[in-house]
Amino acid sequence: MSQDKKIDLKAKVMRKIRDGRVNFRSRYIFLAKKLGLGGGLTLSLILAALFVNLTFFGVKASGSLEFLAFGRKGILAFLESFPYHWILIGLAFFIFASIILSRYDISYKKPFKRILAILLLSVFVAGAVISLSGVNEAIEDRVNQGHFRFMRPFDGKRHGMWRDALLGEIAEVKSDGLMVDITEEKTVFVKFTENTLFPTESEFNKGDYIRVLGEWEEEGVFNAQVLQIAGQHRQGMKGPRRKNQAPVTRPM
Amino acid sequence: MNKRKDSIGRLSTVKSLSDEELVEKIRGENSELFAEIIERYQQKLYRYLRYLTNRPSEAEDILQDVFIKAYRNLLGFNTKKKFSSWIYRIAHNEGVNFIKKLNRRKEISLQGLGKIDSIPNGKNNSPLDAQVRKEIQEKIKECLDELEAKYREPLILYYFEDKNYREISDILRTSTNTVGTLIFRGKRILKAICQKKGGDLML
Repeated sequence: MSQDKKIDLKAKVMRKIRDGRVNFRSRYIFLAKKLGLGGGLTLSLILAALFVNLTFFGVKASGSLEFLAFGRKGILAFLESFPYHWILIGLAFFIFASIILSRYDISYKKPFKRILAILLLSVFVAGAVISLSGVNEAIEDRVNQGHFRFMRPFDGKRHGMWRDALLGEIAEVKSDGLMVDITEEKTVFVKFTENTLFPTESEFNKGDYIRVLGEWEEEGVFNAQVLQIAGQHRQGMKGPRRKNQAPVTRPM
Repeated sequence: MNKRKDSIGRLSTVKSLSDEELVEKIRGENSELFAEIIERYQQKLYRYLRYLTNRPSEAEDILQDVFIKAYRNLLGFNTKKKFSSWIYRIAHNEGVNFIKKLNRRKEISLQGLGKIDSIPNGKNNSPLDAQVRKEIQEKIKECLDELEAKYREPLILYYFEDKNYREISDILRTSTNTVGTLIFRGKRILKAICQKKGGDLML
């Protein structure tokens, strides 16, 4: 760059500064940016942890894991009933947090992948801790009592209908099956067959939540292969048995 | 006479200030001192932008934008950090934006290149080294534009701007390990390019 050009450039820039055409950006803009980044990062991580918590809660509330006890078909039912939407939203918040974090110097001064791995692990641990704390159930109770109506979409889904499984609340007990409410509008007849297994209980009452593996006979009629009252697994599996057969107790 | 002495005294004080101290003073309402920042950096940044964009005439306009942007954002600069890395980062961003706008790859002619592995990077300041360095720089300059931008940028900063790995890392916002790898690979690719073009110097 020649000396003349150097002088010219300096003069041009300084003239703009002196004329007030170029000014400092306000300190508040930088402060807001800093706070925005920090707040965005914190909020994203908290939301990621909350949605991971909802995933755990969804699995726990619907008892999706219990499907795994039913063998190969149970695995399919588990995969179908898994609350993917919550975990995907949680991961989206985590990705958003990673993008914000990449704007900090730490992203290139420290091993970024390791930082992300630790953060991801922390998000999952935090989600699990919240889920185990029982706060979800407390909130759900409040929602069921008519409070926190905005939380309704987040309640633990105890209803569902898939290719090989369904989950719902008994509306009516019949001699050859159960009328099960899947949603407020949808009721399915769960038909007992010769081969239906009852791993936990064969006496059903209105209002019980049940989990059924089987196959669709036609629309609205589901042939049960395995039928279990949701939540009874917590006392331990008692082994499969036929309807009206005494529970099989394990030898001590 | 006294006025002149005062003025000279002030000038020497300004000259003795570090970049970061100067920025503190500019932010403290003495915007005239920004001229000193321009003085200190225009040559270096112009050279960097010229190599980066391969457009000497446009490099001047980009440089003007760099200084204006730097001035506007001066309150956002953390004086605990290195000013030169900060302003180089602005220049880098502006240069890259310009290249993106053009959306083109530069074409250059290649000639003989020197032994890159033994290029003094400016840290050894013997007159012989300086001379060798200048010659090699001239030859490398002609080859650089064949390189992908990701290799070209750290090589320019390392060999032409005398930046160390840490500074390059701050400017390009990548880890020092990556900078080392890019420089190492960049040199190897540059060597291949130059040999292909009939370079007579060993890389």
